[in-house]
Amino acid sequence: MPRSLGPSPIARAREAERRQSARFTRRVLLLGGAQLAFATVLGARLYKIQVLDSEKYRLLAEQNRVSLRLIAAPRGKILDRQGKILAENTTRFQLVLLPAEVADAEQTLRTLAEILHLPDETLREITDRLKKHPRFLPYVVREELGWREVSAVEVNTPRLAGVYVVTSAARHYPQGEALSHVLGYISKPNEEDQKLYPQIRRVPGVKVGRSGLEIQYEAILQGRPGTKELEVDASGRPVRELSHKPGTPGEDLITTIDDGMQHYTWKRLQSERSAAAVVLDLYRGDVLALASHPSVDPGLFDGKLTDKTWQQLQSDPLKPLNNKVIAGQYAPGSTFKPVVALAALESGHGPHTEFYCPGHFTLGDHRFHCWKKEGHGRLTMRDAMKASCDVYFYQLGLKAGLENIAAVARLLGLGSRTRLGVSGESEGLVPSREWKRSVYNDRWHDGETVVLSIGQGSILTTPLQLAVMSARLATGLEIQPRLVRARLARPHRPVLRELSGLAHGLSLSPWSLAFVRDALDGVVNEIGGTAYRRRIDREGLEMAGKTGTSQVRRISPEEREDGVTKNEDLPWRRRDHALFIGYAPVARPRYAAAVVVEHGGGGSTVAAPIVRDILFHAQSKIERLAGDFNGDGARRG
Amino acid sequence: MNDYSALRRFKPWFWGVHWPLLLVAAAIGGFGLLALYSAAGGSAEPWMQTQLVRFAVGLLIAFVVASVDIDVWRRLAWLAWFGGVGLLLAVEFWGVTVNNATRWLQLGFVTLQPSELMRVAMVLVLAAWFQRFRHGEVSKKVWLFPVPALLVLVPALLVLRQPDFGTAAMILALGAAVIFMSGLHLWYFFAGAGALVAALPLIWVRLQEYQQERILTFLNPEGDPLGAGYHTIQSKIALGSGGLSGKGFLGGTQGHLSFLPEMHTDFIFTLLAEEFGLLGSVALLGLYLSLFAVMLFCAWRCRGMFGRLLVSGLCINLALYVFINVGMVSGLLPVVGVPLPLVSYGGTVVLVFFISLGLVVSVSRGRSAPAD
Repeated sequence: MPRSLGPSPIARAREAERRQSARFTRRVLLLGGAQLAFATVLGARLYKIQVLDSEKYRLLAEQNRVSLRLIAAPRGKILDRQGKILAENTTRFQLVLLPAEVADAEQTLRTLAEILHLPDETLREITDRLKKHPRFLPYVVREELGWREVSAVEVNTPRLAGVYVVTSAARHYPQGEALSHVLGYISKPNEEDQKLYPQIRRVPGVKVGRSGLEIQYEAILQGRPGTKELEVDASGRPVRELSHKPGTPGEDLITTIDDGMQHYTWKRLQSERSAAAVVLDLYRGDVLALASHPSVDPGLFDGKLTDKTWQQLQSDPLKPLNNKVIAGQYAPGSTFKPVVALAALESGHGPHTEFYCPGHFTLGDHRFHCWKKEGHGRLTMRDAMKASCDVYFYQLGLKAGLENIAAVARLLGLGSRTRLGVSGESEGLVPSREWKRSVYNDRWHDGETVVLSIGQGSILTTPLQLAVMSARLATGLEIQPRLVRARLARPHRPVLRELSGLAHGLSLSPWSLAFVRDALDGVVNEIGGTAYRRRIDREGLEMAGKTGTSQVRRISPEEREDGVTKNEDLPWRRRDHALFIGYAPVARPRYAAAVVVEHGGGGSTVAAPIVRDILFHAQSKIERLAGDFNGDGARRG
Repeated sequence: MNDYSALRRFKPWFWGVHWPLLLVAAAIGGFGLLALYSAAGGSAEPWMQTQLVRFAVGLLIAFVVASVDIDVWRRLAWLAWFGGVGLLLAVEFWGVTVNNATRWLQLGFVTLQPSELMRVAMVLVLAAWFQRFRHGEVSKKVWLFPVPALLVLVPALLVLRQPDFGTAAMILALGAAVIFMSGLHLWYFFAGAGALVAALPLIWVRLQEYQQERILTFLNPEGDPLGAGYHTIQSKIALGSGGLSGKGFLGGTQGHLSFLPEMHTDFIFTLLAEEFGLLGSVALLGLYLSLFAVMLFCAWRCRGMFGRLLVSGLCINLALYVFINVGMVSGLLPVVGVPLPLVSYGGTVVLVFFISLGLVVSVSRGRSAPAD
């Protein structure tokens, strides 16, 4: 059978290969065509940008060469009531290195280390950081330079190309640690601050308040950043300044603090380990001095704080970071007795109410002791106050009842935050039946009223609340403390924002108040009063007040049997707190003060002398209120 | 007995070097070194020196790759592919994370971006897989297609997880292009393109937010001049202010003032275009086009399907880099972070380029050998 004349397999394979090659050739041409097309599109695009629109972009490039820089507005000053400076801006010298201009970074840093005596560790750290730093941005080698270091760097300028000493703004607090709790401090903004204050986001070197008045009045103190247009050369260095729009400086804050009073109060606390003191002007509730000891230097936080120091501060048992005046909570002890007396008077138990003090008081099967073991004998209210008899007040408290005591306590400002306007204030605690039920799920026992009557048990107060209580007792007015008198929008055109006029009267009978004031006068100025030895022995300047010693431990029956351990023999942490509240002068009260000495011992021996000195200083040294600073340099007559 | 033997041995070696390819590459590389010198503000440090060393090492690698017979590379294709996938997996576990993207491997002093190497390996393996088909078979044996599909999709998905949408898209495009060169009937591509358009909304939803943002600002970059649109606007300013003839070498201002943060890597084209103007940028584009033309010519002259697919695939790969990069800096494409081969500072791309070069020379040396 003859084979058909179809192509042989070899020929077929060859044909397939030829057709495959042909198809590949077509595809190569397609691909090449596509590439050419893409390139043409790109070329056309480049032609449009680089030739047709070139003018427009040239203009934009010119604008790029003009660099707009933000400059931080000067932060508002904080002034005392007389216009003396409490916080201001100063310049300091910063050591800056511009990586782009440094030829040999290692050599330069070695020279610097030699001049500034930098330890090897710091040098290594700087070297590492510098490697990651953008070339055209200045790197801060040292936040602050002393005069000697500045001159050392200047002398060595030839060896230190690319190293500059520049001035930068810093915050200066003349009072230092004396006022750091009130003023707070400032530091570089973190991400949250930047969200809160978007206007300062790109401002170099800006700082924001971190605590105290600095953070409370951040929005006022901050101001608005200005702008500066600079022409920059190819390396980003400014060639000349084209325009300069200064920002709006932050407003100054006029506080109620009296510079001298604050300084004195702070100094006076230094003899104790840990203490808080506050002085109020009764006219408007101005806080004249507010001191919490120990404290920290606020300048420390401005770029100089090391982690180690920070940890030390935080773990310090004396809590230097805490403002004890507003954050510390203490049982008021006997300083609470005026409250109990007022509550009794208001509920119909007159000053002639008599109780007998045998040295202890028994309620049910529990025995409550007086601080005086042998007892005071038969007493009326005034004598009980003078002698600070515990047994008398146990019984008076029971007569007055929890509700009345708590109501008067609240009326006098205990158990709630004052309107000081500084964050971190504690609320304190005035107990009630509802409170007992909700926290302990238990009813209020009479024994608790007994303990409350001498300011012990669950009640808690802050030194500021005690001072407010003292002020309200002295005046019968609902005095609110304040720290800021006014803000100064611009120097010489002050916008004074005086808070509240005179306070409202308290809904307490003037007669009861007069009685309690008389008794507090007796405490200090009559023989037999617990603070008699601490009185101000100067005609017309006498103070009135109440001592307090608040226990921080329980005294067991066995210990009472063997004789109570003396405070001095106890470890510091278990000693009693010493308290004193007072006001002066007795005749026409003008200043009130409260002092708490943590674990200081007796109120009359430790706290009373401090209040005496403070109140004496206030009356003899502070200029009249009429002389307060109003921002215009002149004093209002 | 004359002493021409040395010369005789030298001559084939000398003419074996693919001179057109090498010259074009040298010209592009020269452009790149100039750009890096200028980017550092007129200094060889820190970039140009390092790049020069890389070129030297790359050239050495290219010679080694070129001197190995192409058949050996064909046999090693699968190994290369699995190696690439292994590197991508290594990135997944030990990769270096920058800006939320894990793309790099830290190998001692070298930082490697495996997704770049993967593309070369993928071209190799696809070429090896498709070379067995005779004319027309590709379009008929469609049931075999899951294999090349996996060869493309596995690396694409691994890269997408990094996440690097730009490179993943490039891998897909590269795979499709190699399959196109293999002679698959055009209808499949029309169908595929249709399906892709239909799937676009789904892909959009799956994108990372920053990628969506980049695409949106690509559509309207002026909307956010200090944010996501910043790159596009600044690079257009740099290009446009260069004008027709440029500001002269080292005379650029925009690049030097650090308005473009990645000036020496992805945005280096703008620096060249600013200093050498439209003439310079078009010249560079022309050099790239001639490189591609030489490569395609090589592919066309090749007789075996493996060589053809390999060389054209490598050409497409390089072309994708160039077109996407220039499209990106001129504001035609979103900013996806693709370097310009031989010009951008960066090690992996240099490696990719010189391996490609070596493979092309290897193919062109053995072009007369029939496919098995």
